Amino acid sequence: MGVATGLSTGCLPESFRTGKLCLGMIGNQKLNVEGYSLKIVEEEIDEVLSEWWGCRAAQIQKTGVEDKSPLIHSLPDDVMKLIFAQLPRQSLAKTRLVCSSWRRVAEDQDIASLRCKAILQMDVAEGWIYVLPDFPQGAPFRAYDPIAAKWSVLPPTPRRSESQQWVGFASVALGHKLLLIGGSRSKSDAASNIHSTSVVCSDVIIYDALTNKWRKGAKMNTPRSWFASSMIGGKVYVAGGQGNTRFLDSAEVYDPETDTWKVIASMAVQRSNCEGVALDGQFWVIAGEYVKNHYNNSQRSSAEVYDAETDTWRFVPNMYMDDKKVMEPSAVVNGELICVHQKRVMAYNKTLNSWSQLGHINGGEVYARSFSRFGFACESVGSNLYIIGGTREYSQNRHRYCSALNSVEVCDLAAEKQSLSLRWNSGADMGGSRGTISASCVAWL
Amino acid sequence: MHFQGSPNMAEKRVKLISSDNDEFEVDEAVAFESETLRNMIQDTGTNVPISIPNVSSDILAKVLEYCSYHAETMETHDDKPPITDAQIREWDADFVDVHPATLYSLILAANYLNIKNLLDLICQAVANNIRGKTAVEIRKILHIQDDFTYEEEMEIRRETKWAFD
Repeated sequence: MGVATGLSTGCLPESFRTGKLCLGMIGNQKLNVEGYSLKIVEEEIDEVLSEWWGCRAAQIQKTGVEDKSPLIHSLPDDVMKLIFAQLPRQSLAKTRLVCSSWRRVAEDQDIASLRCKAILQMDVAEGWIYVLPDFPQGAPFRAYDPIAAKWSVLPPTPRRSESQQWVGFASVALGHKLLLIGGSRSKSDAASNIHSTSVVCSDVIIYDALTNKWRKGAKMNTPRSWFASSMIGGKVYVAGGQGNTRFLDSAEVYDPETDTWKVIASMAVQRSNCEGVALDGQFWVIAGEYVKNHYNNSQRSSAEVYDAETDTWRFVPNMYMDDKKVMEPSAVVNGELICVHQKRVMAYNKTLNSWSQLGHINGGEVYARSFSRFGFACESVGSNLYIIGGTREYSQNRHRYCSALNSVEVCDLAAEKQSLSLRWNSGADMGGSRGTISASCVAWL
Repeated sequence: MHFQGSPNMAEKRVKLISSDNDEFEVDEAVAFESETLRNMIQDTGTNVPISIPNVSSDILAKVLEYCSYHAETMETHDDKPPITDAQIREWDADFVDVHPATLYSLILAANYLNIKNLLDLICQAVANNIRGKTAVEIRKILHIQDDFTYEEEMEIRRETKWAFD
């Protein structure tokens, strides 16, 4: 083709074409740069170029003068986005620290949408588990990278302080964003909690994993705490909970495109402390409490399933295992609802409306009598089920002990499905943060 | 530069002219790997040579080498076994194993000619050079000036603690 043996200056960077520095170094090879007619065979091209790169590095070392026209720096933003989109999440975070133009590109929302799709038939998006541990008090959210087994710390959550208790809020992931919704805030008196006043709010705060920043979102129509929430089809659904004066049966949906909440059909019954999950693209609201009489609350074992197309709820009686309790930590793994019921890992069968046991949580089998773990996060990434933090209670010599945990345990349910007992592996622990996890979710970027 | 007696005579041929006035002739299917060329050909037909003013001969030759191979992987031959995905990946890996300066020119060419898979492939190669490196290392390797103000730098450090592990 003739072309392969002729080197055009077109493929060389600006500084090579014009740089006198380089000319001196390769002068003995009889280059005629002015005439754009470089006659070098292919092997020599590489030699010349590596010499050029080498000599530039040497020049920088000698004089401390850096070339002001770096190659990658002059690429269009759209191309830079394509490069950044293919980086692992840890590396993507680091590119924000290189320079201001890289930071601008690395924080662009386009990166998130590029990473949603497979690039060259490979999935690039990574799920990180976000948890909010109770101890130390006022500790920020932490994010766990399951691939690198590394923890990172989020910036402090706005509107959360040590003088104010904030409980009963929902945490739900919307792609690479983390939403904290509603909840009950109370100013606790240092001397006693008796005089504390609590207010149920409708606030929404949103964390963006790309920009690593918190911001405010639109408020819900109804203030609620201890309610069900889940993300389905790019929208966040919430239902039930406890308002300022009563238990709720109402529900609403958040559209991130317009940053607005819309009221949808109400459930058949009131539910507080209910659990929301996404199963087969539908919003399930499971179990919960209701006001039985003036003195007592009672628990429900039923669930309700929302159909977005018809704006109606379907009632599923006797869905949850134990009507003495609100629903325990749960996660959807490969489309299957998994719940940690006491020490047992249970899977829900939609067709039969029944639960079956897969195995135990780590240690649950051996110390079945004397041990219990509660307040932990239960989340899934791929086919892996993660159990993070929580409190362990155990009895010894008729004494009961409590210890706050910082451990991460993981079980590949796809691999363990056929075995009789579940095998658990350890992840990287949370270090100083430990104890009950008051919020958790998995955000993908 | 002309490939006379091509085995596939039924195929239309397309003439391309590089920035340094070299002429290339390829099958229409090869040119169609590029969205930009596809649009041009559909507008003007194959009779007029298409000039590509911002891609030099050596880079255009490399781009067409990629397009030819990938157009070929789409074809099915009765006498030859189909090319496997693993073989394509291996070929692609060899293709991007070139000097950074060439890679840079290829990015610009793939971007201009709008060849999505080639662009993704080269961007992946560049990303592989960046991954796992700290901001300081990246600046050094790519000769990038740190232009943050002290305040910005401090803010970023606070924000992304994991980057300084």
